[in-house]
Amino acid sequence: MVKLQSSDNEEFEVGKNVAVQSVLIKNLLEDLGESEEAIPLPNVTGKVLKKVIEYCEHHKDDPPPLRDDYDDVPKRSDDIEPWDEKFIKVDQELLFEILLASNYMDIKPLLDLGCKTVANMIRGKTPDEIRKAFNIVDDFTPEEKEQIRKENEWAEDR
Amino acid sequence: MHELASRFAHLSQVDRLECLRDILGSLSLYETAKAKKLLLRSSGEKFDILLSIPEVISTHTLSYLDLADMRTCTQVSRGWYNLVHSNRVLHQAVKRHMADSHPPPSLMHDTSAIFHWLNRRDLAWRRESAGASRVLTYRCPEQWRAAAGGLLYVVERCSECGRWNEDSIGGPSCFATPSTALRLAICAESGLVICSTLLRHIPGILARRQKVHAVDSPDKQHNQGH
Repeated sequence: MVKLQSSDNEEFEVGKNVAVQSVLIKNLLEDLGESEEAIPLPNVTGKVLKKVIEYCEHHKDDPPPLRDDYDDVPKRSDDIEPWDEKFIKVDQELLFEILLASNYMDIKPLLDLGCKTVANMIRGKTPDEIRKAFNIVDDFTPEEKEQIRKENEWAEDR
Repeated sequence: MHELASRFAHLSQVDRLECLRDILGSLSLYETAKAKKLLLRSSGEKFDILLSIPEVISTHTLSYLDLADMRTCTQVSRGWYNLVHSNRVLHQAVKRHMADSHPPPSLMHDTSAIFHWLNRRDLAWRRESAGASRVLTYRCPEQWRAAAGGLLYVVERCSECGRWNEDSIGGPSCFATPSTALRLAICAESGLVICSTLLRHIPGILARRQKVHAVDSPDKQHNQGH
């Protein structure tokens, strides 16, 4: 078993096969060896760590993720499994925290899931709809808008 | 913490800004993201998540979008515009888009194969009427021009034997805007097929579109090269 300690001093005990899905923890265990001491995760709160562990528990038997460093290959975001979809159905605050935690703990499948979710929140929407979805202010001047319109003209239907 | 806040409150405006700059400069990636979120969150639970997360994550997120969605992103706000244009993600999307929308070089010398390729439904060519002709327009990538050797190809099918005959029309007059666009025209059964593109200007920040003039008829287009 491996002990993990959140930034707010909450401790979680998880199986090694669950913990090593985080490359950060895997490397720590390899470098420092197993210990009774809890591994401190100063950038992850207890609430978020609990959620991350839930994900890792569910995916503990998955094969290791492939690196997808091929820029030319179109990436898909419509291939989210039903369990993952339900898992990531959280408010933006928690989604933001999960993205940060998965990046910090280096859990690529979870980072991918978070990024796909944000991408799906953007896909197919108009600029206005995106602004509404993320509470963004349209700060373009009319001149800038015109310039962007011209830049994008090449792709518009004629 | 309260003591720190109290001391901060007693600083002059200049010192406060100086202090803030020092604090922000010493934040970790994680703390920067949190600070950005605090600043970008005006009210309610929604906030600009894409600008709050570290750029490495926002870039990864954008990589799941296609070119059309990325184009939409540039119209959301200045921050989003800069984000899309400040990293390689747009170029990758253009590259993917081009890979999807130009024929493989192996087809370049087989005109009937090109025509079959052009007619693939998944490429979503748009038919336009140009004079009496039926015209398909599409934007081809730069590689096409290279593969085509800078020539405008006109391909005709013989009405008697049905064979495709390829003809190339060289010279700048064939290109409406040689530096930015290429038209590839094919005389198909249904009329003239024109492909056009803006090439290098696709990912540019200050792109200026130069109109590609419509071709009125297959005969006119064909005659241009002779």
